[in-house]
Amino acid sequence: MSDQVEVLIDTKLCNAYGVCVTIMPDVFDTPAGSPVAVLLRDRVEAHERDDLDEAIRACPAQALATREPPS
Amino acid sequence: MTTKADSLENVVIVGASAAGLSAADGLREGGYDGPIIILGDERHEPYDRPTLSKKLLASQGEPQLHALRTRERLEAADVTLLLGHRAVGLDVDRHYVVTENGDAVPWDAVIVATGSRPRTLVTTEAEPLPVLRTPADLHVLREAAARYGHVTLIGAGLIGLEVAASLSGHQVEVTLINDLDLPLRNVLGAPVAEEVRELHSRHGVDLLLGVSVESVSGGPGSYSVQLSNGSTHRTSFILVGIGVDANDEWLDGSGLALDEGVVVDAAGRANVPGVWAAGDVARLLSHPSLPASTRVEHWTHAIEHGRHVGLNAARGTSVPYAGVPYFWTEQYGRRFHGYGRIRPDDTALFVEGSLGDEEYLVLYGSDDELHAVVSCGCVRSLRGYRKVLERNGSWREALDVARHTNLVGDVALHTN
Repeated sequence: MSDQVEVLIDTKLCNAYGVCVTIMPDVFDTPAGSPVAVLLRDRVEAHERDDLDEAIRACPAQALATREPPS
Repeated sequence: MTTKADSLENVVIVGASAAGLSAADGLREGGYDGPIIILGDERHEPYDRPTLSKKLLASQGEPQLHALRTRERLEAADVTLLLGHRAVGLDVDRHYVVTENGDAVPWDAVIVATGSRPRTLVTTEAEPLPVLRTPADLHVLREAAARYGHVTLIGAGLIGLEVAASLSGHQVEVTLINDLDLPLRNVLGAPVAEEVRELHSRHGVDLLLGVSVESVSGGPGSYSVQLSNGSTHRTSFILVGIGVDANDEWLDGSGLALDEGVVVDAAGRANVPGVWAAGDVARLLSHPSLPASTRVEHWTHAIEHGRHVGLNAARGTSVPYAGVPYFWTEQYGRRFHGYGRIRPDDTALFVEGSLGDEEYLVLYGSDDELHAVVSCGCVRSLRGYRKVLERNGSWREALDVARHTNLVGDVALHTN
């Protein structure tokens, strides 16, 4: 009974602003030269949900979302 | 336990951009399940405004605006969005918002999120000069840049410098006029601001600094700008970026306390029961880590303050807002991010890299207080310093973060 959730980036929307990286640098990254942010891991734990929710809210491009992982 | 939300039956949010939409989310998150009406003055669906200056100027073809909220998402949250409904008055006795269409929209709580608008200058012929705030403004600027090949920017704030960087990268001649010698000093701090000035200079932007504009005459295609040093600058097109004013005039005479914005307490409450304000338009009377009586005009502030006020309104609580101001900007491929507010007497300390490097991180503070952190490319390191700022932590704690990341070697001290 995992409390993990899956993180999704819509790369059609992402502008690589890097706002998410300032909030969760161990989940998101904006490598030099990349036009979009990348995921360092695609699952976050229950105790990280507040940070993830903040990153989702703060994304100007509204490019982030979560999904319950398939059980 | 408070069950204040049960007594709310009708919430109106005035303003349909970042703060207003986030306030609606906060209301739902806080447990309020009654009607929410959002009044917006623009006729566009709410869109991501930062993109106008940060990306769209450089893009080809028709501007593609990111929707801030899809219709589906608003419907799922049961939020009624009324576009083209500019609010023109607030009746605090009978609890109505009056719109320019003559509607009287009833409320038992109202959240003012009308944001801010760019200041502008008017020509001697009484024509207001162009600014960049809306998609229509962007369209005018792009056309002018293509037609004339030369744009003069008056004012060198974040938006002005983003526009300068974007245009000069596209074979447009750019002149930048600013009354301060060092643009963005208060945002980036002196050493970083000096480097940004140098970047613009190196990319061919014609910098007219330390001079102010006395008057502008003419029109598109042929402007004449009189400068305080006695010279005349001739140009084809002018874009003004000299800061913003709160959209609070519609509240004149309403009984709300106004002071270049709606005055709110730490929870977001105005001086009239049931009235709240959030985002750019809100003047915060108190905040744990900011000077008293501050307005914050950044994107994430609008998001987080909007949500926070929505939560307080839904729950009937008075939780103080403590979010730290944050900005980001990209110029000539360099990404700058910053948290906090630099103060005039702060000392700058480079804890990663140093000036001239592609990547560096600077702390600003004084009297053992950390006030701000600015990163060029070191975005991954910001989180730790941000946590220190959020708990109003000390300079010493910030240095501990730097040592912990094992990044302080020979630290260079720069004094502002």
